[in-house]
Amino acid sequence: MNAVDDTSNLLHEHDQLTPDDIPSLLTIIIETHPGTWTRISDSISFKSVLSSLLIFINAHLALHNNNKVAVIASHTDYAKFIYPPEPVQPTKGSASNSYTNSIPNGNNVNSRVESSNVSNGTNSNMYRQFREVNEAVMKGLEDLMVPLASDISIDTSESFNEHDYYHESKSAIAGALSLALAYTNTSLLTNDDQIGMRARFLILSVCEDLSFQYIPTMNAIFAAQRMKIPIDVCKLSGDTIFLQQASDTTGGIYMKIQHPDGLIQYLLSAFIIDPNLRQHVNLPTQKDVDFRAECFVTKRAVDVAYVCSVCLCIISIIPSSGHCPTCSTKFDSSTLLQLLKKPVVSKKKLKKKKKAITVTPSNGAVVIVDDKINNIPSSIV
Amino acid sequence: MDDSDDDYIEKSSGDEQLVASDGISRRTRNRTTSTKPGANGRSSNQNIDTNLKGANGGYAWEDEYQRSWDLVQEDEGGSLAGILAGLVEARKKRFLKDTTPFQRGIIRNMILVLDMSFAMLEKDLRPNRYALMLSYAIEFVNEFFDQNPVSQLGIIGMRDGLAIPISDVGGNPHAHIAALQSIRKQEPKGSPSLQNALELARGLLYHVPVHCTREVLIIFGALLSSDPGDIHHTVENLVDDKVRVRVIGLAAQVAICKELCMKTNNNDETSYGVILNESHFKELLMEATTPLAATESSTYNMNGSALIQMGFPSKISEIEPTLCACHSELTQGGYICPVCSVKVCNLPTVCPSCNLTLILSTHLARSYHHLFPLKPFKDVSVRDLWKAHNCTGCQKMFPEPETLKTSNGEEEIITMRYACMSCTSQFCIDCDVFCHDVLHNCPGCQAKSSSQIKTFKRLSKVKLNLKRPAPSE
Ligand SMILES: [Zn+2]
Ligand SMILES: [Zn+2]
Ligand SMILES: [Zn+2]
Ligand SMILES: [Zn+2]
Repeated sequence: MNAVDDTSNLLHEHDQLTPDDIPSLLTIIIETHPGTWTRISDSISFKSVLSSLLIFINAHLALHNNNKVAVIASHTDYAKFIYPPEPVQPTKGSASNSYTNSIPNGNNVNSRVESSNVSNGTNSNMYRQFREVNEAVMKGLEDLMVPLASDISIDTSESFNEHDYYHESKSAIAGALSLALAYTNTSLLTNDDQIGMRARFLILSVCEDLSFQYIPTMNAIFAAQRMKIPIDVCKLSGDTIFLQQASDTTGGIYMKIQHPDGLIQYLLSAFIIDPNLRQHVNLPTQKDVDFRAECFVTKRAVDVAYVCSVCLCIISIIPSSGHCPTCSTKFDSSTLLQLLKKPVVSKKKLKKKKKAITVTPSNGAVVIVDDKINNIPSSIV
Repeated sequence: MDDSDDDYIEKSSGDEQLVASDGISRRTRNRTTSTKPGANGRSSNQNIDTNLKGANGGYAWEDEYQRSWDLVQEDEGGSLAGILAGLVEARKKRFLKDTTPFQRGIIRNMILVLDMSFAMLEKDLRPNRYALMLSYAIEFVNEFFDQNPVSQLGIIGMRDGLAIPISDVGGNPHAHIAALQSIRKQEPKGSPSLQNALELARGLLYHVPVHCTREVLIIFGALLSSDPGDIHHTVENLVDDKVRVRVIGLAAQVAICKELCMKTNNNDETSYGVILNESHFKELLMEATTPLAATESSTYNMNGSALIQMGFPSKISEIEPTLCACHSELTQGGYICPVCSVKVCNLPTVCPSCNLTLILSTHLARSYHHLFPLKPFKDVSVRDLWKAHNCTGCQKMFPEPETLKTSNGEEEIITMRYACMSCTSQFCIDCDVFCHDVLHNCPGCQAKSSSQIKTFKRLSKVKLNLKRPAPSE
């Protein structure tokens, strides 16, 4: 459709607005799982990723006056806004004091003092918007990583076994996506520019799986799809099937970085391109997508599974109890029989099927239909 | 969203005092109905009726025409804040539904029956009933497959005393929409026959497996039905076949429609609705996209739930196009069946070679929010204001609490904050609406570490209730 009207559209838009004129909100989600970062520190250091990321953010801001950026850290088991930083209590409003001044608000005061200290320092002749973002991101990530990094160094010497926490390589990606979506939603709603705004996500991912948040992650992916927000995934280590699915369903790029040293090159050549222009560019995205689902019981990715018709939970093994592990409804015994008799030769299986259904003759119409279906192949065979 | 705002303005009285109070009282009224077990989200139905009645107690069209700008009046202090707060609150009402997790017939088979008789030429809906019905039907098809990706839909029309098939039963929304577009040019004529349509629908639903629902949704503009035989007999057959019929009447209540709905839905009255105006028509139609709660007597839990084997194929890319197994057309890329390695071009589908249901896990995920709905956020009282000063979702600072005068002269303080019950995070109204309408997650529950809250309570073990059949009179 679009391809057909393209010329007329272009002619019109040249008078008013080119697609580049619409500002965009870029939300970056960075997985800050300390254990994984230390594990991959041979190939890429967090520091170099951070500096590439800052250049990328600045490049995005430089592309349009009204471009905006948000950075969210997806940490071990929680997610947190890095930029924009938590708003500081306004001191001007007199009325606000009556309700809110009683808050013990040490944190904010501290951060304000610190940030003002930093801004007095080194980069005073940097473009102000760049400097603000850079400082906030640096500080936010430092706050997250430094205490944990020191924890690790202590813990590794003492008790190695208790390190599942760091080695599990999970991050609160569902939380980070939910925050990003809520933030984007409000930013788009309250955007005062008449032009409107677009949004997209970039996930800098290092962790391997996020299986424990299956439903929330899927909800978030689906919400992004409804809001037409592409999710780009820049994978620095490991492989995550859910992020592959996320970028595929939302029309984003999934890229596994082969040479992490050149991260900045990847960011500035592929991920910087506005989603609207991507159809004109040949982008290096992953074409083969692993669409396996996760079994709710074994938490493993499976390609063939059973689905409970009541709660739609995905299970790879038939529970011995005959009850659904999620919603605990009892499974129909005849269907269970059918499924359990799988390795039998087809002729035998058909007989079994027939028997199983006639055991429960509560649904007359269906028995007739099933009988018919069963009869046809058996006469052929 | 804008819709609901506009509706609200149209239907409320011009009196400023009433506007503000109405917004709140509606909220509370909704809440009281939602606590009733078994109300099943459709409690909003009755509320819509009351909402649509104008301030004088009559219907919307009996009211004087309300201009939206007449509504905005300053209070004594010359401030508009109170009214705005009231309007904002009114937006929320839709999302205060009952969220008891019910067993629902997630895998649906629905036949949409469109009235194409002379009655559809009436111009009481603009441009006329027929055109509006078709454009709403197209929206309905899109929304239906958005909400029920594993379901099947078929469309038939009632015209010239016959039931004519418009589109075959299938899971591809584009086929249905194309079929609906193609009948736009046709002139509705003749009288409708409910019986013929119901019998055809029954035939189409005959082969549907037990674990799926059988539903018929009729949009009925006429006040008569010219049937070849005894329709009561058809109704009894429908009851026997466990077909559930919903009717949306465009003109007035018709006795046979009421009987039809009551008998096929365990005496549940809510399945028959007569529209009041265009937006109510759409509301009734969109309500049908939510899967029905399973009643204690419905078939699909007589023998327990079914366990369906499904395949989750992987997507491949190809440089050279190859034939797909489903249409025998040359396509580049597609999905590979995990059992027999056959290539299909579209999902969800049934593998043409091994008969396995092929689906993406994202398709299943779209239905989860029907089963595990996000609990409504509750208003934050003034006492709890200190707990947060910005919204957990969008990070925006909360506005100052507003003092609002209710109609009986009492003052009420609205904090305009809403808190999740399980993680106590506070949200602004935009995020609240967004979380319940689009996201279906609580960002607070997801983003806070599990040591701070019990995050996975919602997902670990859910008891899905059965809806009790309404007491018969
Ligand atoms: Zn289940
Ligand atoms: Zn197959
Ligand atoms: Zn918010
Ligand atoms: Zn919560």
